[in-house]
Amino acid sequence: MNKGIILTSDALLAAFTTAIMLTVIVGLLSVNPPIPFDKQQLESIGNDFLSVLQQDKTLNSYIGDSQADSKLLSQLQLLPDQYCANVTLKIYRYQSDFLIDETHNAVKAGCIKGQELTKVKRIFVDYKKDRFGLAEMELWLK
Amino acid sequence: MKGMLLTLSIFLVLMGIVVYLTVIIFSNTDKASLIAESISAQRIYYTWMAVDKNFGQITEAVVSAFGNSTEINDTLPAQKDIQSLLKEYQEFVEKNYADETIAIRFEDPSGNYMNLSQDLKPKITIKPMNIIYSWPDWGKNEMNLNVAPENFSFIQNITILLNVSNNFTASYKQNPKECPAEYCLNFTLKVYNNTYEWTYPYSQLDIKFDNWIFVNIGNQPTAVKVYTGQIDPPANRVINMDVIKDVVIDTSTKIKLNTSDFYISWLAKINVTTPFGTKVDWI
Repeated sequence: MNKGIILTSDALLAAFTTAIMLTVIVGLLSVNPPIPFDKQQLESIGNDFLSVLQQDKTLNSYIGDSQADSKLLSQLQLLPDQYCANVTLKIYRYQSDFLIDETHNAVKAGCIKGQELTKVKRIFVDYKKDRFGLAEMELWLK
Repeated sequence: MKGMLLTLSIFLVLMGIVVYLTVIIFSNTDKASLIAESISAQRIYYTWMAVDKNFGQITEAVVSAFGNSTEINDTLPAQKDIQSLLKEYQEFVEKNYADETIAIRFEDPSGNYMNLSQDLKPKITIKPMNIIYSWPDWGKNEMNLNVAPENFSFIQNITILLNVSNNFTASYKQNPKECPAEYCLNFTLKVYNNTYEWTYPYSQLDIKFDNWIFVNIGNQPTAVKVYTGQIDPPANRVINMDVIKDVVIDTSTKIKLNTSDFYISWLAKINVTTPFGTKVDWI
């Protein structure tokens, strides 16, 4: 009789300790933060992409160009396969305030907008045409 | 006894898993925070560079430095109202480029808010030797290169290229004062268009004394006047270039120094700040 009680309480104690340990483990796993390697890479690619287009004056060349959307798309197609992107160019002119004069947009072919978007942007100026531009890029993984 | 050993070993295994997970979580938290900081630093850097790059376009004066040389590509006279452009650009940056996660502020050397159209002086300074490339105003009809005589020895040579995009002829002072001299300027001046290039025949000038070179462009006599000297105070003048309103010339002024320990500045700063960091640097 006594032996049975001791064995049962031993089993109960073991089960209780195991339950506590498992709860702690599950709890620890749930607070484990994801490391945003993807975000870092997307941010770098986006910034480099817009930076190159600004510095070689490609962005400026899109101002007033009716073919700008398709030219922008062909630039996006140069990104590696696994990267998706949506670029919007807003061209402003100043008339006591900034008014959007034209907008261009392109989404890389075969990409459906994801949930986790990384956003970067870049300013550019065309002083000859009196226009200010803002390029905004959303990136995600396929 | 057997049961106790079994229970103890299971307990130790579970404890081991808990300790292992705790170590991993702390290490992942550190990595995640490092990456977040690196993303933020990258964002600050690219934003700063984008604003800095636009500056050369707005002022029509692109400044670059490499090794012990600096080059200023400048259009004379100004083709746009630079003062208005500066005002609009600052407003555009503050309204449309900055947002709730990133602040962009133009500052004077003391760190106070700077109104570019009012406070930015039309001059570029090579520090610490204070070689000043300037225009009397943003109309840029004239360019001056000045340095105090005691800092003149920092300059090894100056090369000026003038692209006049039209037919031209040149005249110059005969037998100018040459070197050896206390202040000897090693000087190259080339004027060119699509088909022809002319090089000023003197390469060493004593800049204690005045000297002149005139360029007649198309049917405009003395459209460009280039003077060298006088270095003595109060002028402290090395070069002066005067351009009449009706012509447009693209100039490239390359100054080779005897040190690479210098920086070039408009004496204004861009301050880019996010919640994770700041970059404040000279434009």
